Amino acid sequence: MISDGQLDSVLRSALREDANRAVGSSNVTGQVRARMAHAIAKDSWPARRAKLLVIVAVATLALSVGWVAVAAETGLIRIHWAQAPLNGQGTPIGVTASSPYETTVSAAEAKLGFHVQTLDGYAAAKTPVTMPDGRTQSVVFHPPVTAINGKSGAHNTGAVALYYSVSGDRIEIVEQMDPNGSGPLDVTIKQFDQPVPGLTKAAVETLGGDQYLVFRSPSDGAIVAIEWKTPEGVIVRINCSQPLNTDAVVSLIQHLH
Amino acid sequence: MDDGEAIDALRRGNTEGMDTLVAAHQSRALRVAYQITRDTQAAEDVVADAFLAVFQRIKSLDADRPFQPWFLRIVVNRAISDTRRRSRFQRVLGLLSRATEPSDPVQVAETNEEMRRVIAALDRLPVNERAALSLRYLEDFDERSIAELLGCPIGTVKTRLHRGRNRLRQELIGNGTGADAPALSFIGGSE
Repeated sequence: MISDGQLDSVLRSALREDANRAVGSSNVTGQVRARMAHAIAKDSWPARRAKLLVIVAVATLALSVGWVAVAAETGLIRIHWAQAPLNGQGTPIGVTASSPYETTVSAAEAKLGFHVQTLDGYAAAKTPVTMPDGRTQSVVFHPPVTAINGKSGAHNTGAVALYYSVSGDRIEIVEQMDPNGSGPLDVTIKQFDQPVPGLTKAAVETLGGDQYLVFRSPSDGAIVAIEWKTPEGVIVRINCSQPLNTDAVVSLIQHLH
Repeated sequence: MDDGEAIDALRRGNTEGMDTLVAAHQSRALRVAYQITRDTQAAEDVVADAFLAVFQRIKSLDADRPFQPWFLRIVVNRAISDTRRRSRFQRVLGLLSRATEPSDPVQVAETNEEMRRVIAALDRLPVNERAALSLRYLEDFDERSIAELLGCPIGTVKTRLHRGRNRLRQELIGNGTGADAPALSFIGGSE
């Protein structure tokens, strides 16, 4: 028979030892900074950019990325820096859209009307992926946004998010038709009036001869997200749960087809 | 910089205030979140989200109230919600994989058998009982404080602690093989 005192003692030491083993070395400082930067940027983003932003936004993993809207002319990416106060919450964006749902690539293509690029055939890329909340995801369709801040209209045609695990890292690939069609690619990036810890650095870079909008970690320069527009007018964005080196990202792009 | 100064700094837009709060409170929050979720990654997500909630609500935070109980309440509620949200199937898989760990001879040698049995038994407790036990024995909160953190009457806390301890006692004096049949008992006992 175990006495109350014995049980209490065993329970206390077991809980502490187990917790210290599991999370004793954990540090969420970076995650908190990234989420704060994400929230700051999201809250004060101009509504006029929302129609491009929201679909990518709702599918994006929790990453330390700057907040970007894109409209493109293939091969040209122009960055516009938008001055933004770090203080204050700005104008919230109210988005109306049906809930995302699991689907298949072919069903998503039927809805979106364009060829969805995948990593099929890339042996290193596994799908489905178990997300941090325990859900298993592979292909998720995000229905079109039907209204922004109460103003209804056809803001986009929806988007698809593909999920892969590559060498243990979660990779999210979001694809949507650019509602601006073949117009110029305008990339607007917020420029805060104060330093934001953990905010990624965005820049247009040439990788393998093509131009990409690249978001790099401020700490080690690894890539946390990359975005471009295909000749067919589709905006493709790759989000990485953990920053990847340039070669790894280029390899992902090369295997997209 | 203490909690009050950190909160003031954060209200002024100085994000170093958040770094101070994270440094001061993350360890305890992570331990509590882990013992409720039983998942390291989930615990980190819960705690990071809780700090984000602090940031988003910072202007409505009552400066006269101590920060830690308010923050831990957010952590505990989110950890319980997260645990309930995750599918039963996923949790069973986690338990099954955990049950296979002792087959590693190195781990068997390094792991205290009694502790392993307690932890295995804890895994099978309903999340509310696990939360109450974790706050009581991991962080030494009294019953009244636990009631405030969980947002329930003190009588409910006493009941959960009593039931939880009894379940653990039964597990430990029963067959002593808590890790051998996790899936079936989990399916039968989950909230």
